[in-house]
Amino acid sequence: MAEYQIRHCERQLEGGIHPETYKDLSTSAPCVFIDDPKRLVFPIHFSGGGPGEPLVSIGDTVSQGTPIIKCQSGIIHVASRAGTVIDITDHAITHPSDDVSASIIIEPNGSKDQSYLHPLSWPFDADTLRDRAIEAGILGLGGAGFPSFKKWSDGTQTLIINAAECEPYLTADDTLMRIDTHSMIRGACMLSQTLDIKTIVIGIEDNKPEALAAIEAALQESRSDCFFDIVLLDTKYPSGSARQLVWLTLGIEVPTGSRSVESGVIVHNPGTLAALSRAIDGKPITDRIVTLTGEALTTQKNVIAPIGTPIRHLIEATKTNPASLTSITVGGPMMGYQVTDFEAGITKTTNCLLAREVEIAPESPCIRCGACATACPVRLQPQQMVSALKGGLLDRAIHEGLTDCIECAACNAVCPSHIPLAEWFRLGRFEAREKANEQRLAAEARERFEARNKRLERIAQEQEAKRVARKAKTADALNKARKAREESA
Amino acid sequence: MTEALWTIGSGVIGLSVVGLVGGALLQYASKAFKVDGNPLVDSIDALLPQTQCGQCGHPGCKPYAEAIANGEPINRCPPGGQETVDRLANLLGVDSLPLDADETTADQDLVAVIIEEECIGCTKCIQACPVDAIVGAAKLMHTVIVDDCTGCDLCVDPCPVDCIDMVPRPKASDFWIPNRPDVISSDRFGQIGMQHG
Repeated sequence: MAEYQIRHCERQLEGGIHPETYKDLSTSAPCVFIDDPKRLVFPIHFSGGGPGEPLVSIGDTVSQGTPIIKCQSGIIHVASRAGTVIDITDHAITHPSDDVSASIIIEPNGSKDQSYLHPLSWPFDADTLRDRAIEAGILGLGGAGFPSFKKWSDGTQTLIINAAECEPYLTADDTLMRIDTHSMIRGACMLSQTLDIKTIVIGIEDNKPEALAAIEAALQESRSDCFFDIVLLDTKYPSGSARQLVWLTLGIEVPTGSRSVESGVIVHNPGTLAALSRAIDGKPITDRIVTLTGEALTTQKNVIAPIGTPIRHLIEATKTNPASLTSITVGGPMMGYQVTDFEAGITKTTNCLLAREVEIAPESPCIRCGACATACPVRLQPQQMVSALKGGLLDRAIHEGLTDCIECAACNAVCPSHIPLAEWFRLGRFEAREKANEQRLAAEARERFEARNKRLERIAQEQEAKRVARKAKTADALNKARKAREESA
Repeated sequence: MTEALWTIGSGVIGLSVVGLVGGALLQYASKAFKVDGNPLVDSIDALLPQTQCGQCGHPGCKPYAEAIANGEPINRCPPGGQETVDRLANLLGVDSLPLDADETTADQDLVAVIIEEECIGCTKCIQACPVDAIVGAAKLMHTVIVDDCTGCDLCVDPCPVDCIDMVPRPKASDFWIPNRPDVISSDRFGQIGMQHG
């Protein structure tokens, strides 16, 4: 039995909100496998891990697990089912841009062909594990899709399993912890032992008693010598944001502009660790749990679906007519985004498809009530930042702390004027990043320009010095010759 | 009488000592905390785009920054655009001026591309590049390091075989710009009931 303790979190999330959670909509039905769709869509540049390049061409036959995309970060995405590559073309993608992008289309052929990696034999070192994570396409499955191996630096003291799942409606992590607890625990233990991490913290909101019971049972069976510190968090949004969770569970404030890794903490989603556990056994990520929920669906449930499954197929799996919906929210109601083309395929970061009747409330002017500032978990002044952004004063917004915004949209939820604050911040943060990039390039250009000027100056000086020396030598020789002439004369 | 002299004398001596000590401190501070270069030039240079294109009539951004510090108009930087002019006006506390540039050349993010099949390896563009963004050797093909190119187009004219093109700066394949919120209405949380607070 692994050692563990369960404690209530002694800290309070600053700000935050208490939305209705609507979690039992999708947890009351069992999680089921879904029938294979007729086609699978893999966006080449938007599958997570940065822009990629295809490793297959049209007409190729692939097995389940055949590498099909290699990303700039090294991450490799694999075919989630055996089949044929029928096209590589622009296709609708599951992405906030709600746009089309180059995608690989695979038609599954129903065969069980598998091309998996060889299982790793314990013990292995950190580099072996990193290589495995790259080959198996392990990304943060919580939503951000950050390549996991990049977080695994030496000198890490704590691994936090982010089991808060604070967004309303979402139950994918909850489901995973109930049905795949052992994989998650095993992944966490193997990662910890490889990186020499002593403590594993599980931050879980107190509205998931079933998941907690499953974790306890799994820990009692586990033979790991890692210590598990289970922290029960009050159900409050956004306690599952990485920075907020690190503070709640450990009392460490991650400084502005740095990642939690730099504070010696790794934060992983339960799904990521379960996927890692399977990757160690040789199985790359081919499927994930997706919550299908929302009042506009006929039935709500969690499903295990192949990566690349078109959204339409998943909507149909809930006995809902896709034509009855104009758009669907990918992710939760707080941080999710709208997708209107249901042919788009789910990616590794698609944790939820949410369909509900939404009346778009018209935006009215800010009344300076300050509700957003009270709700902000980062203690920013959203009303100040949004007025700066609307006025085109990006510098002002950055000065107000725009780059610290976690885009949790708690401000949106409480705004009585229905101002889309978080959308403004998303755009503003994008512009701030672009600007920082521009400034970096300008600084580099300045450096090279100055280095070049110095070099040219140095070369000119050297040439001048050589010329002077040469001239002196010539004058010397001439003098000698003249003297010799005079003497002989 | 002696007492009065003593009082005055001690005052004179005391104040002289204070003055000398203060003077020595100031002398030391002026040496120890000396700022190299003109700090105003550096702040102006920091706002310029570092294209080093010479369109302002100066051989680079730093020389133009020095010229501005000496009173030259602030609107001669086409790559910086009107935004840079406004920032300079803000920094220097003067009225902003309209940008002194052809509208078509301003605000276009271009980079140089060498058509490699046609390059004869003359190194003229390498010598012209103000930011060392072209690599190559004599009689061998040259190429532009796209990330380092500032788009100044100083390499275009020296090329004897016209094999350098200016093209829009390529974007990363996963580049996208979030929608402006005033264009797309949002489906966000305002419509969900709150428990409390």
